[in-house]
Amino acid sequence: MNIAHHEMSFWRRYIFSTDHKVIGFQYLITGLIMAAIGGYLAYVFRYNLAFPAESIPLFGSLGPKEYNAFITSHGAIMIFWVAMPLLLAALGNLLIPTMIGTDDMAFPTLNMLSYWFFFLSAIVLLLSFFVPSGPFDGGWTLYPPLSADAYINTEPDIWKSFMTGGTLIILALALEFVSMLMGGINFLVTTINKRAKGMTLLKMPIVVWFINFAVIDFMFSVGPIIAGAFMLLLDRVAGTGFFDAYRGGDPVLFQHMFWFFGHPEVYVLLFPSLGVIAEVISTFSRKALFGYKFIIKASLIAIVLSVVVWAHHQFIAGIDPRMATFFSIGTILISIPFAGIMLSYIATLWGGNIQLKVPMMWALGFIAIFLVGGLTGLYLGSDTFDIYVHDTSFVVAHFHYTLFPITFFGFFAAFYYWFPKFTGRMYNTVLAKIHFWFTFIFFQGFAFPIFFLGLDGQHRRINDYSAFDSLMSSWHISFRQFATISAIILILSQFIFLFNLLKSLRSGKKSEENPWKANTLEWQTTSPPPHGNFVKYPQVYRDPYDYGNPDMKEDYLPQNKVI
Amino acid sequence: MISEDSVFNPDTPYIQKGIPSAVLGVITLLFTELMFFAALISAFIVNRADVPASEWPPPGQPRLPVLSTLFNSLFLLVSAFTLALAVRKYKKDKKIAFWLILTILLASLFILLQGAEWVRLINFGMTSSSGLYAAFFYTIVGAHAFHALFGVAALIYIQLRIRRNKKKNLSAELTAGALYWFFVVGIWPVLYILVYLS
Repeated sequence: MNIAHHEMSFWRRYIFSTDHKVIGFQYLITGLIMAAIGGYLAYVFRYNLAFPAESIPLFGSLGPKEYNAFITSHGAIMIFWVAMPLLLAALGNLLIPTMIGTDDMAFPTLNMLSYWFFFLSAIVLLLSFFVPSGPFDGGWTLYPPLSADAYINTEPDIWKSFMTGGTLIILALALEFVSMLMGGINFLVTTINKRAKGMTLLKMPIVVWFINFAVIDFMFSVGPIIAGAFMLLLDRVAGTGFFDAYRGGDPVLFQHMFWFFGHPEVYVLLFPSLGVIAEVISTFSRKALFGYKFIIKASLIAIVLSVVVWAHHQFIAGIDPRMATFFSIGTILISIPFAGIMLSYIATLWGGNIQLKVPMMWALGFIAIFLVGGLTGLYLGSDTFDIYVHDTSFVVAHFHYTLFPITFFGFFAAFYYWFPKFTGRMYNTVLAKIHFWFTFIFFQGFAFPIFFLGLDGQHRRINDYSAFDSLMSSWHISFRQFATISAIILILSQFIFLFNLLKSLRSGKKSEENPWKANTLEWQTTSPPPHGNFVKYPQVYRDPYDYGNPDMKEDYLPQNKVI
Repeated sequence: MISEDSVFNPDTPYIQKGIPSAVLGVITLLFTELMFFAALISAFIVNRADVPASEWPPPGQPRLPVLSTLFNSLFLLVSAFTLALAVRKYKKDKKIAFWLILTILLASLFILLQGAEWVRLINFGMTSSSGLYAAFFYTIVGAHAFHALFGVAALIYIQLRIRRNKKKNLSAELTAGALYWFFVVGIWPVLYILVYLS
């Protein structure tokens, strides 16, 4: 049926397309462009931290207001406009229909709308760099009173109060949540209703489970932040005063509404990444994923726990100490299911026939780095420790040790694993390995020293430490410079990736249908898959990790193979 | 060995038996909507708890029209009933234009009367910036009104589609739209008791 596809104009085919693969690529390209912007901002303010008061190459001089605006935009962009589109939207769009053996999403038009809402949100955010007030500079968490700025409320001209960095970033976030909501509904319904014949829920590849876990966690927690953003917007443009303590409002209320979403958001990003790592590890260990059902159960427990840990971000916001104890316990409990999942991955490696291909290196790198992030999370989860390091660089190092592997190692593992499938071409493996080692080493060079600076009391969100004598000893300065130089090399090494990507797209050698000899359905069709994904829709007979079956000649057994 | 299922046709994508996609999509959306209203409600309760009963509503502010809104609410409640009749009747003979249009009219009447109430309150000097009491009223009731408007638009769209495709079975779309409307109606008593009576 799908072979006889109708002729479509360029616009319908590549711009306003309803095809899940095109939409996946649109998300991917937009996410990578936003990552370049986020990376450039990071370069500018890291340079300023290491060499204060010096002119920054490719930028100029950075004042305190711009510094705050840049760290705010860097945080918001990397989480909402890089990690979300790359991990949730792009992977979900590309992988779900192909892995469950169907032609497209359940609601293709809604899927297209979802991307264009996302695109609009990115434009609205970038617009804030060109309004007179400049981009919002009160931190990516948008805490009032900074975000409910009083002087803006008295602005008589509604258009002027609308075109401020603070209003635009709230609007952009709201648009982005609507976009991801539309995408999420699509993922969930597609997975439930459009699985291939014979693919029971427990025969789905684990990454499909994980993307849907992310969607469930997102949908459960996003309502409150939409409400919070809505109220904050009204505070700014309609003078409501919900979060204005002077008028009876409660600024801490916004923190609750923000983190009720903001913390589960970490797991929304973590889940797709964990799914990718599981697929890659199982394929390149030539061994069944250890504890498939256990991983699913552990994730369900983690979802339940993820919505009762949020106030660990607010230990110093004046919340009741008894409440802080409750949230400390919840936070430390949630590390148990994730530790279990990590151990399942390591158990999958155990005794496997390990092939150290490029995606596998990223997967192993993910585990190595993420464990450091997870372990420091245990310290921070305890309120007694957190109170002392709150808002220091220790926290910055911790969340870079979690979110960097989640976003980039997870994404690159997926990228190098599925690139041959979705483009039909192979990349240069040597360049890909160099890209891995540079990223792996210089990420640690950037983030590890910051732990020590933070433990020594280096507060985040300060653009120049010259006024603090205790933070200006020679080791402090050299640690900051070491971190900055590592960060710059880390950013520069991404050009290896860019070069490899563009070159492989143009002249990479043609890829086979199943270069990794994997079992899941997307490998059982052509590379790239045709419009509609399959010429003959598959029927599934077995679970996706049947590697090394002694009765078979080959060491793998595709899900749809008839024996 | 699993036997080949004769119904399975490898030329078209397989669809699992179960709840239709449109209905499932609305159910998942409503799950998020529920959390959205839960957040507004808890924000209201938290702020309300800090204010002594004698100052809520604040002195000098107009009282909310408790009785006339109760009367308006009847239109909304009846609209859920007429819509339920439409859904039931669709399974029998598809001739539901009367019940569906009646539902749309009742729903629109509710929205119009609520709008008239807002105009009256604003004329009394109660605006979004005259304090938390007014702010919460306009935000919560406004969020509900927005959902009601969207629901009416969805019902009109469904009515038009049913009229155009007389032969096609549109029960999934109808059920999806009805579920959304039942949510709009169902959440209203909670909001009414909270905002008007607390």
